Amino acid sequence: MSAAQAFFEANFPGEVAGKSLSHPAAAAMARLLDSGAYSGATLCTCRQARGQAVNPELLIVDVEVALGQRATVNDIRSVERIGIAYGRPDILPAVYPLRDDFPVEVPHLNLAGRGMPRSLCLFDMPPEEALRLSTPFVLIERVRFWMRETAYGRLHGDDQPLDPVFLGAAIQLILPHGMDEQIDMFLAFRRSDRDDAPVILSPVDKDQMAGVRGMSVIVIETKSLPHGRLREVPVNVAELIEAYRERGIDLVPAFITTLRAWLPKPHWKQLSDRNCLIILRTPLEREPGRVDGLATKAFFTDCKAGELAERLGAFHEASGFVGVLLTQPPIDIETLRKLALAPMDVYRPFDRAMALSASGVGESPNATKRVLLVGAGALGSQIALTAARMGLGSWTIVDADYLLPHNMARHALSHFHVGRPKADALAYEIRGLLGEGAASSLVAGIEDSPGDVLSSAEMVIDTSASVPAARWIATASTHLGRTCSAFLNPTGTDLVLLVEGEGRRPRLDHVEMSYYWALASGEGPEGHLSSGKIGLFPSGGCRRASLAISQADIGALAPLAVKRLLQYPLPARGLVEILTLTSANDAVFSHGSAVYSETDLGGWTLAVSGDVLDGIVADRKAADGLETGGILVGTWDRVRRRVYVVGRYAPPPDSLAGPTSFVRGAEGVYQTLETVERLTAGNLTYIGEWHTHPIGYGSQPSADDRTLLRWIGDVLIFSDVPAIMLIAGADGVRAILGRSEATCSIPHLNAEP
Amino acid sequence: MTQITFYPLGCADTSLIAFRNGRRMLVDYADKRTDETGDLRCDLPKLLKDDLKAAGRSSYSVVAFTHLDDDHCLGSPDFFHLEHAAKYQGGDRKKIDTLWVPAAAITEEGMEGDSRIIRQEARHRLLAGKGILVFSRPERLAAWFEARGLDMDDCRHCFVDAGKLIPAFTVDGDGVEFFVHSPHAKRTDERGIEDRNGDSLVFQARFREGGRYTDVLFTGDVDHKVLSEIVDVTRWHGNDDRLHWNVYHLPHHCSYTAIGPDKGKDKTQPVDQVKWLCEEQGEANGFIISPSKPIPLEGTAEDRDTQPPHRQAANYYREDVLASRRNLLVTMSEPSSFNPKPIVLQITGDGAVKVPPGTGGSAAAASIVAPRAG
Repeated sequence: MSAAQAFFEANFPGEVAGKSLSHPAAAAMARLLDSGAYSGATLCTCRQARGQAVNPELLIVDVEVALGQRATVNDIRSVERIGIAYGRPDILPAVYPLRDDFPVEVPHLNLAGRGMPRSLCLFDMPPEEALRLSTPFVLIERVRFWMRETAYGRLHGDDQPLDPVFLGAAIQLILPHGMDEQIDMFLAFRRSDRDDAPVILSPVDKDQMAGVRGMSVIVIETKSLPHGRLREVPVNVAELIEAYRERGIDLVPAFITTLRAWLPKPHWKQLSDRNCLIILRTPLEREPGRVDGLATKAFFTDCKAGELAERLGAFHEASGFVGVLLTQPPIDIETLRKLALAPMDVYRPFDRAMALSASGVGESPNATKRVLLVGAGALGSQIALTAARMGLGSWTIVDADYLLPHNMARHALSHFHVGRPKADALAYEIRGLLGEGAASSLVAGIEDSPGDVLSSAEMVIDTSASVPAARWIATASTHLGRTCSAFLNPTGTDLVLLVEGEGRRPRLDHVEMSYYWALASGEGPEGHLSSGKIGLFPSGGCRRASLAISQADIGALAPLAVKRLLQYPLPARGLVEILTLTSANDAVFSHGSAVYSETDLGGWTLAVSGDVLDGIVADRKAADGLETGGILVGTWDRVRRRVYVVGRYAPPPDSLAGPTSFVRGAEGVYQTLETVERLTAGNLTYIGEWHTHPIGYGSQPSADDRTLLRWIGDVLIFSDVPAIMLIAGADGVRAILGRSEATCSIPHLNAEP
Repeated sequence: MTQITFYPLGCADTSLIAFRNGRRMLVDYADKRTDETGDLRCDLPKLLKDDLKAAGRSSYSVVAFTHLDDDHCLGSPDFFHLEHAAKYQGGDRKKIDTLWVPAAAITEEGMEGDSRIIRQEARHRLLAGKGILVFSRPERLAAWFEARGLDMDDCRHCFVDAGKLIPAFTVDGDGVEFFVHSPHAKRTDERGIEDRNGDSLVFQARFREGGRYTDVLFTGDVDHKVLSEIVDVTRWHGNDDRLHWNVYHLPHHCSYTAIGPDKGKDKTQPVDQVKWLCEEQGEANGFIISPSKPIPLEGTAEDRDTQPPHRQAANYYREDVLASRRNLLVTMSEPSSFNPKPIVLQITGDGAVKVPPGTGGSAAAASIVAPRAG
């Protein structure tokens, strides 16, 4: 027996029979493995811990790993022994590999205390979701999946970021833009008094250091490491050095070089006298030689940087002088153990690369395209900021207006900017997202702007909502960048995009004419150019009326302009597009919800859709004296002990219906259930059967029904929950739950009196 | 998804290949099940019909009869729609798009029962010049054509010779190609008698999934002499890789005769060519399929039986060929001898992978997703 198995057997000393297990999920797993219906794993023994209020239970199981002939990357065998430990019912069971030489340097092993076995990290979703979805079948299949994918080094998907070197720390640290520049002192602050609020770094100019309680910062980039398991976070300098040494990297020379680099600086003393933030970067290799990610962790020292430098042998200060030893003395690791570290998780600032990947845009030729935005009003500001959040565009913004209170109804800028020029404030926000250089502004009308504003643009987006401005851009300027206009119709229900073709052929004013012709030909939406309602006259004068358009409308339409103009390639030809909100102005898909009847039954709360009840009752009447039936789909909430009966299906074509009997056929049932599970991602599944008793008979289950219920139970052996049977008779619909034989009549809310 | 199913039929062969485009192929069909209680053999026609129904098909693209012994064709006239006689048509019978047979299945006389009916079907299709592929050089059937006053050249497209790929399948288009090993010339030219096992189809199916090849070797009922000839011929032509296998479907129900001339006390010793075929061309982590009853335990009545399966042969495969004893898959013993179920191998980018009954393939566990984003 392996040492790992012996360890677990010692912690679960009592061997018990599968049917004596008390944990419902453990008992269900044992039933599945003993059923003979599932051969993906074999149950070896069941064990119990003793002397606790809820006795934890352990199943020792051999799982079959579906290996092919291809050479494995990690040493996973075609049979692996595991221990499944069941503790509290509201926590997922833990699955431990029990082979002593099971590989430990693989991703997706959970961390445990020192010397404790590590369990498999099986689900890439929050544990409460996994608990809801994991039947014994799903759990054991997931183990087999983990094993196979780990064997071939695939468990960590190619599109998934690599795990960092260390586990998460309690403190979150947010780095500023421009961290790579030569800045070595930072202020740290929080924007909330709460202890768990993230720490924000802000650079300190070297001329202002003297009076500031900042921290010195060193950044160390190590050699790359192969992607491996997570480690506990070091809490002192010795542990940090040891953790890297274990993986073949000596951090000490890097510390020494980095700390000594301060010495020629005039402000070295200010750096040395402050506590130090160590930012440690380690490139990660997805496979040998292929770096694909960077693990960054920060550690704040509770000592002055000078003391750290001295202990590491970087430099030595005495009475205002500093010295460097010519020979390197051995490092006293025990002294370093006294230098405590506060580990921090590092968040890099939002930038274009992060914007592109977080938005799923990926690489885009429009990422740094020079875009001129003419008009920073409601639509223009929402287009520019939406695009910037996606990492798209290098913006020049031209607008002569100031942000006024009434703009708050639908402008992308917040109230902080009221009173500022719209162009300046919008450019400021975009720079805050994507960094310096991502946007510039010009507070002027386009006709008054210098000629190079237009000529240097690769694309011009006119959101001025002004026909004269658009005509001026189209005809008075000889710029080469493809130009388009985006505007809303007067009622704010339609977004119009007029886009020049490649090489500015056709030109914007020509596209505008095509738009009118399309409207004239009856191709536009009904009432497209009917006059809008005036919302208010912000300045009192009737020439500057503001139309009544809501943020709900413009907020739905503006992003579509970004998708059309910047996210996806534009067609080569000129284009008129009118994008319209649906008449309901909201959901595209609308489906009424059924009313559910709830009943308590056998320790479960049974919720049955009124539509299901109606259907069963109606089918019973329509069956012409014969019995009928079919399958039920729904779901169990194992945590809250609720069963939802959501839908039912008509009898399969090969069913046999008689006056006092019904044998449900099998044709198409498997496909139906497969489809149900696929379309709902497993949120609905087979839960049981419905059938009817003939006219004049009640809903009491017959002997045949009990046989059927046993059969349903056999199918559900893959689950850890009871089967449901609904029987309709003259006395209404009765529910039967599993083998408990608990039955009840269901109050039928929709039933006729 | 490409997968191959081997059915528990006692000492009899039926393999179902489901191609990734949904088409189906059978290698042999032998339903020897009785209604007696305790007969653990599967209900082959029902399982096959269920499979076709699930796949939404009514015919097999290919049915290959490796040869026409009972344990490879019994019950076929009850299951298949045969074109040569109305009495084998209609009802729930399944059609065969193309029938693959060895030349002997056309020429051999004196057959009886279901073998004869399949021979008649093969002859009917060959005379019609469609729906059949005969594994042979056409010249071998020259006399047979002449006796019927027919021009052999009209039917050349119905033949494929050893050493060739079967033109109807390409690895690029279908994800699979078939290389014909036998019947081969040496054997068919110098023959004096109809040796039906010797005239068995032997072919390699080469699948490509996930950019990688997986080879499956089907060997009918040949013995070590025929295997040796195949190895010699193939190596002489430099086609060694055409005898590479990830899955080796054993000839003759795990008989020692497929390994060497002497059964041996505990382990059959291979002749050189079989040793090369098994130990060098085979993947140690591959699968060997024994279409047979359970391997007998030493000293039992079954062990003393001269008929296969032979314990000594199994020991050779388990100990000298495979890295794990568990990879010798005996159709009547998987997952257990008390409750045998069809063996399913999935062809994947990792090679051939076993799908234990009840596990639902690879999709079940991987498809669990948390349903909401926001």
